[in-house]
Amino acid sequence: MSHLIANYLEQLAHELSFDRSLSRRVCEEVEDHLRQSAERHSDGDTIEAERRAIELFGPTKIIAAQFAATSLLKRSRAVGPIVVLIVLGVFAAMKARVAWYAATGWTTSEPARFPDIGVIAYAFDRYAFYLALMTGLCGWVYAFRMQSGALDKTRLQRSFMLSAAAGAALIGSVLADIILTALRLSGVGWSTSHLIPIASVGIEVALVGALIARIHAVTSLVATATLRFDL
Amino acid sequence: MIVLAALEAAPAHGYAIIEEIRRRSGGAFDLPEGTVYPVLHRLETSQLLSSHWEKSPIGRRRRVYALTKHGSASLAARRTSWVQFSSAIEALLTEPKLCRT
Repeated sequence: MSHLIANYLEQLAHELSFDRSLSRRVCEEVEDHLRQSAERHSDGDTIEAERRAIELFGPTKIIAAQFAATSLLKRSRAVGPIVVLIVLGVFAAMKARVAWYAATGWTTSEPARFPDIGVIAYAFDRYAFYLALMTGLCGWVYAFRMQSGALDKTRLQRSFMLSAAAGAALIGSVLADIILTALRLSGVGWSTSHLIPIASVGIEVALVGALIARIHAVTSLVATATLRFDL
Repeated sequence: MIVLAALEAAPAHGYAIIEEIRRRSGGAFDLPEGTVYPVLHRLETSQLLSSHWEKSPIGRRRRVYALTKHGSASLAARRTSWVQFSSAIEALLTEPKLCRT
């Protein structure tokens, strides 16, 4: 048995390396196709049969580029719901902290120390959060409405801009939460019960970190694939 | 529409779909074989097709595709549009009978 098919599959896997699960699936499927095709064209000359099967199948770069368009669209569409879920996760953490303040008898209005900063941070927190939610929802709807088929780079960029705007607004909201929590906790002596609001802020920071990592991973993937395949 | 029509009769794997397209079109659609797989993937992403792995008679794993309900409805709609379109083109291309007065 020659190595023509194995070499071809290796090349295809390299072209599809921007999406490893897709690469594994496609290579397995294509291998079955090429082996069947080679068996059909075989008249004793294995090398010639494999060469013919590969020729009929087409160049790896063209095939990978066609897969890339669908894969990128699918991944870009998935960012929208992730943004909205993370925004809702931050909201849940915020609400849990406020409920804890209420349950333990802490004032739930602006912090006692530096009241002006508290008022500004509270207003900023609220509007930044609403902005994150609205832009996140818009990004989701916009990405969902993108047509399958040829990749529309302009629409894809707009979709990422909306997700990035939602992410930026959420960072602002979480920073305001950090300031508010710090002001609230700095006014009283240290207690182990402070770990609860600190942990809830920690969850918000972790969620925002996950969102940034996700957006960065998808945009890097899109940039790599569009450059490689000139999409 | 070509791929959906090829899967109308029964689920099939990629190679069999290409053979079916070639057979039913009398060789007119002799597509570059590799281009069919991205199309299958796109149709599956659009939920017009579903797929699963099966073992071939010689033990190789192969992906088998089937039309979903949504895919069957889409094929029926595309077929209706195509029949209307091709009838209109045929009517246009038919040589008009000369009227002699």
